[in-house]
Amino acid sequence: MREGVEQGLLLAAVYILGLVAFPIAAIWRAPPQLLQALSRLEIDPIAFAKTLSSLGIILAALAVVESLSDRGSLEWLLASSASTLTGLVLAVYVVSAGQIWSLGNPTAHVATDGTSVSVTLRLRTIVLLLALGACLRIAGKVAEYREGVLPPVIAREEPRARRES
Amino acid sequence: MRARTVLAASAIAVELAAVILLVLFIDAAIATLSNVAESGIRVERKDGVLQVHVPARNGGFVPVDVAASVEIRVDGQISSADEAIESVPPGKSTVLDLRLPIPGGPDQAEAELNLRIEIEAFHGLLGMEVSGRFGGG
Repeated sequence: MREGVEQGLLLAAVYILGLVAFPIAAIWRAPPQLLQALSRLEIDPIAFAKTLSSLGIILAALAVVESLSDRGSLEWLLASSASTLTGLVLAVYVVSAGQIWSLGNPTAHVATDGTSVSVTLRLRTIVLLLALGACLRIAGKVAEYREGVLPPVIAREEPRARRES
Repeated sequence: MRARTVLAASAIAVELAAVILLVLFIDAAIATLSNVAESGIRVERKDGVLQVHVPARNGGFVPVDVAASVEIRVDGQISSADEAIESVPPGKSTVLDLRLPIPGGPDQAEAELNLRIEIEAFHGLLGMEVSGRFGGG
C-alpha cells in the first residue's frame, strides 16, 4: 500500500468513530429527561448530532483524498485546506453550542411562568484564535505547495552547465 | 528555518492556546456559578431598600472578575444597582452587596426583578453572563 494511505484511512476511521458513531450512540443511549432538558435550553441534540455526523463524513472523505494525493501537489493542497476549513467550522459549531451564527456567543434561554433565566457565553476570542490557527495552517500548506511547484535553483542551472561542457 | 515549519508550529501553538484558555475559563466559570447557586442569593427588604447579597467563590484555576447588577421595576419606575469585583483569586470568596431603593408604586405586587451575574476571565476576553427575570407577570 502507498505510503501515507494507511495514515489517511486511520484518520478517516477516527473521524467516523468520533463524529458519526459516537454522537448517534450518545443520542440513542441518552435518557429522555436529558434530551428534554437540552430542548428546553433551545439546543436540539438531534440536529447537533446530525451536523457533527455530516462534518465527520466530510472530514473522513477529505482525509482519504489527502492521503491518496501526492504531498505538495495541487490536489493535496485543496484537500488539506478544505479539511482544515471543515475542522474550523466543526470547532466553531461546537464552541457555539450549535448556534454557529452566534460565532462563539451562544445563548440558552429558559422561561416558566413569570420567571426566565438566560445564559450567554462570550467565547468569540476562542473562535478568533481557532480561525488564526487555521489561517496559519493553510499558509503553511501553501508554502509547502509553492516549494513543490517552484523548481530548485540547481535544476534551472543544469541545462546551461550541460551546454558549456 | 523554513517558513512552512514556522507556520505549522505557530498554528499548533495558537490552537493549543485556544483549547487551554477555553478549558480554564469553562472550569472557572462553572465552578464559580455552581458556588453562587449552592450558597444562594440572599434578598432582604429593609426600610424601603432592597438588599441583594451575591456570595461568590472562585473554584477555578485562574482569577475571575465577578459582576452583578440588579434592577427593579414597579409601575414603570426603575431602580437599579450594580457592583463588580475584579480579579478574584482562585479559591478565594467574595460577596457582592447591592442596595437599591424600591420605587414606590400603588401595586408593588406587580414588581419585576432583573438580576444579572457576569463572570469574566483573562481581562474580559472570555465571559459568561447569567440573567434572570422574576415576577412582573
